[in-house]
Amino acid sequence: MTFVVTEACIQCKYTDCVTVCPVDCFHEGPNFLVINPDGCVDCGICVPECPANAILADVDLPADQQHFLQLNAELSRYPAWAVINMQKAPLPEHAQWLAVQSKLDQLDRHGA
Amino acid sequence: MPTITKIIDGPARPSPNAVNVPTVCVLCSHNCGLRIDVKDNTITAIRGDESNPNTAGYTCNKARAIPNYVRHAQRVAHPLKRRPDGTFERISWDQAVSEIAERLNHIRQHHAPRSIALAGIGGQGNHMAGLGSLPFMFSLNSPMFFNALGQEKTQHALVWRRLYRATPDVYLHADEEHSDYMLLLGTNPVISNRGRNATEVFKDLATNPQRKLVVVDPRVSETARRADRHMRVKPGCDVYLLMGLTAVIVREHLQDQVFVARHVKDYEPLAKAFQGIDPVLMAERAGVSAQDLIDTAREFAQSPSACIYFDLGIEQIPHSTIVSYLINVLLLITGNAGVEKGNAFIQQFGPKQPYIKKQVEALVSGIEAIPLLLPVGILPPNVIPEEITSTHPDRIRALIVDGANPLVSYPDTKAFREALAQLELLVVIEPAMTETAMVADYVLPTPVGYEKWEFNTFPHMDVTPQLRPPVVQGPDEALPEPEIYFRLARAMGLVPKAPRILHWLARRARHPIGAPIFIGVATMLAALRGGGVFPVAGRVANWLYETLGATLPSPPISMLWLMSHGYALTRRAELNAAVPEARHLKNPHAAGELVFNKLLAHPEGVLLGQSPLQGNFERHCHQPDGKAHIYQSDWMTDIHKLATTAPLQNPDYPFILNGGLRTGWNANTIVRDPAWRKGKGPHCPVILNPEDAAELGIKEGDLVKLTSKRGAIEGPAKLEPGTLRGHLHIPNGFGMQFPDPVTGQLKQTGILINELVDIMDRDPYTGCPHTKTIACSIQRVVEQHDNAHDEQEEAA
Repeated sequence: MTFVVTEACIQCKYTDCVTVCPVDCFHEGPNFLVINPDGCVDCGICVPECPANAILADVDLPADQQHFLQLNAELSRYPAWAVINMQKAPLPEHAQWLAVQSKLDQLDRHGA
Repeated sequence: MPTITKIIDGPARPSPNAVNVPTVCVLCSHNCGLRIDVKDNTITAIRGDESNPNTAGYTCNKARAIPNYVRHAQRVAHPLKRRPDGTFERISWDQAVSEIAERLNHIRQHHAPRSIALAGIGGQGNHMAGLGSLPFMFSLNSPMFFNALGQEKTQHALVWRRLYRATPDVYLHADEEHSDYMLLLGTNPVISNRGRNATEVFKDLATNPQRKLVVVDPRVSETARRADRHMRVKPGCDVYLLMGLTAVIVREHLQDQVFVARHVKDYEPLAKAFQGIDPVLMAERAGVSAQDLIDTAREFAQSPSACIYFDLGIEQIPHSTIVSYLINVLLLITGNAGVEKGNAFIQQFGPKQPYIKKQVEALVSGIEAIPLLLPVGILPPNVIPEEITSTHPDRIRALIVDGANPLVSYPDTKAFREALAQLELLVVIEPAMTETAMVADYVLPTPVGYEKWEFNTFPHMDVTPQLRPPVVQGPDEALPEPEIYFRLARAMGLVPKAPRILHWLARRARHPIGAPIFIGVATMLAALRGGGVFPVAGRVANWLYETLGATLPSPPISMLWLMSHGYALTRRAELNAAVPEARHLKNPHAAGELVFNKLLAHPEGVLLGQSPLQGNFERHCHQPDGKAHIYQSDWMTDIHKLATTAPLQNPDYPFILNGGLRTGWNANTIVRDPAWRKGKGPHCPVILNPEDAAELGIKEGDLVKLTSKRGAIEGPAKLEPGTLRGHLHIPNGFGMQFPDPVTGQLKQTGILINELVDIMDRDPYTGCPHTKTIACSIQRVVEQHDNAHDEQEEAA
């Protein structure tokens, strides 16, 4: 099992989650975070931290977010997506993007 | 001052720098195996240990709080004695032991041994204290022993004693990894980490179309969200739901007739009584849909296998003994008790324990002690105050509190505060300056579970004890609990010096011939001094500590040597099944040495026993006729009353508070330093339904006040749609006083729930408190914008 960062994170990237992760398994791209499924210990402690409610257990992923399971695994392995364990300011336009439902096309894969 | 006999004198000194050292998490009963790194005597990294036979690498976030448990501002460094003005003075161990021994002897000689009581021992992953404290109580011949199991789980042991004549070392646990159908009551294992790896187990239950999960919980919990069916029972009304389920099965003749005929005595009178119970009315009282209840009963009875998974949510509520009884009734009539894929009896490490019928009774309530996991009876902590304040000449006059914190963890803080003040002597044996230690006459410092040899032995499906060495060095003057009890027993004259022959035999005891001679001679010499079974056992344990203990890495391990031999002698089939090299050993003491050597050689935990689930019922039901005695007339009378009387609600207290929600940020009261909690918090809110909040004019973050018939508390409101209307939750394990990192002044962290609990709201058979169903009222005190509570909540 693993927890998964879903679409709601894109263009917001609040990073509240990274401070509570006991195993430092969040990786950072320019406008999105992912969880390394091999490092995740399933504790779920990050879930309530996210202001965008972007983090879900793999078993709880709705049909339209299923592809984020693979995306988290793939991006977390890419060297340019480094581990992040210190909180930083959210992206400048986070407030406008928070309510946007469909924003996968905004994802910056950072070369991955 | 008399000379004090010492065996351990100084701290254990593990290497100050080490990597990948095996140990265990002591913050919950799951006991995840860990590997840690140590630098300059400080724990610097913590990982799950894949070689641990139980948890195989799993941990949750809480394990990372261990450094906060080991090092913090409230460690006790020296023995302390309270002055009349309430401050403490540092004293020597010799002074502490001789003064306490003299005062205990005075009480013992002028009153009764039972005037000296013990509360606590054990905790979640540090079970070595019991191997010293219980022999001390045996030597004293006092049965007055209180443990947290007596405010949680003794109702199950009572039911198993009555129905199966079960021994105390077993637990009828759900075979959660294999069962086709799980009925889950009063627990949220996805968060509270029960079982081998709860996240994986519940993922499989949620996604495997062949398996079904039914969750009974007022709250939309993380586990309930994965359920095939979620029945949102009214808080504390589980008894009606279980009565309804049983009635459906009985009325529709869905019982497993073959199992009932073979394994159940007196099914007929039980069935007759349940014929008269209306499932639809029971569903209404439980607050669930009648169709859901009926469907669940039919499915549970007709599924190829079914289990019931339960925990605190059905243990600290009204009628908890009846609830436990009904769980067993359901398992029995559907053929799921003592079987594979149902609920099976699991057994902890050690020799087979005896069934001892006669148990001590509390003086005031008459509640009988109940043995569970330990061979001695456990009394419920919430009778302690009345056992102290009673006018009976044998009342409790001295209390030793070891590894517990009654002023935070036991129900009804006010009652405890008043009663503890009336004691002639309060001794607290603790690594930390707890709220109870702050009012003690003497505080005796111990190492934490990572600074001494320790042992954990909760029962699992397989027998997997774990004996582990210290990983960091503790305070110079902290002494392991068994050493403290040994010194006290000798200073009190309870146990004489070990006969010289035992020292000679102890040096030859680690041998298949030497072991039985050593044990035999020690027992014989102890018996010659008379005094009954318990004092004899106390002498043997103390002599083992003094003689064999001196030859081992740490003296308390001598009790594990004895348990290893007892295990090999009485449970050989389980040992042989798991340890192939034991099979060819003809001498059971050779097998005992093998067990002990494996324990010593595997600090990461070791598989020492497996038992096939076939024949589980037959092996653990010890009734003379081999059947479960399902009809218990007093409990059936209670059920009849429940069926015919509508439940009452006090209009002054319209809300029901669940006093102790599990979250990712609580670990009972083990970690005192709140700095371990991260994230945005508040970590200890009052959680309520948004519609209730709107009616009361309460907004997220407002300071709210909860009032029960015993007291009032305040905390920040948190609105949660998954909370049932009329229901409230507060996370457990809060309310401790810890120095503010800036001012150094003591400051309370979160809400002390036990201020609200009424000590008299308890189960009549076990004394288990109703902490999960505290009737209270709620009102807004301060609006969120001028609410300073968030700031004061935690240093985090």
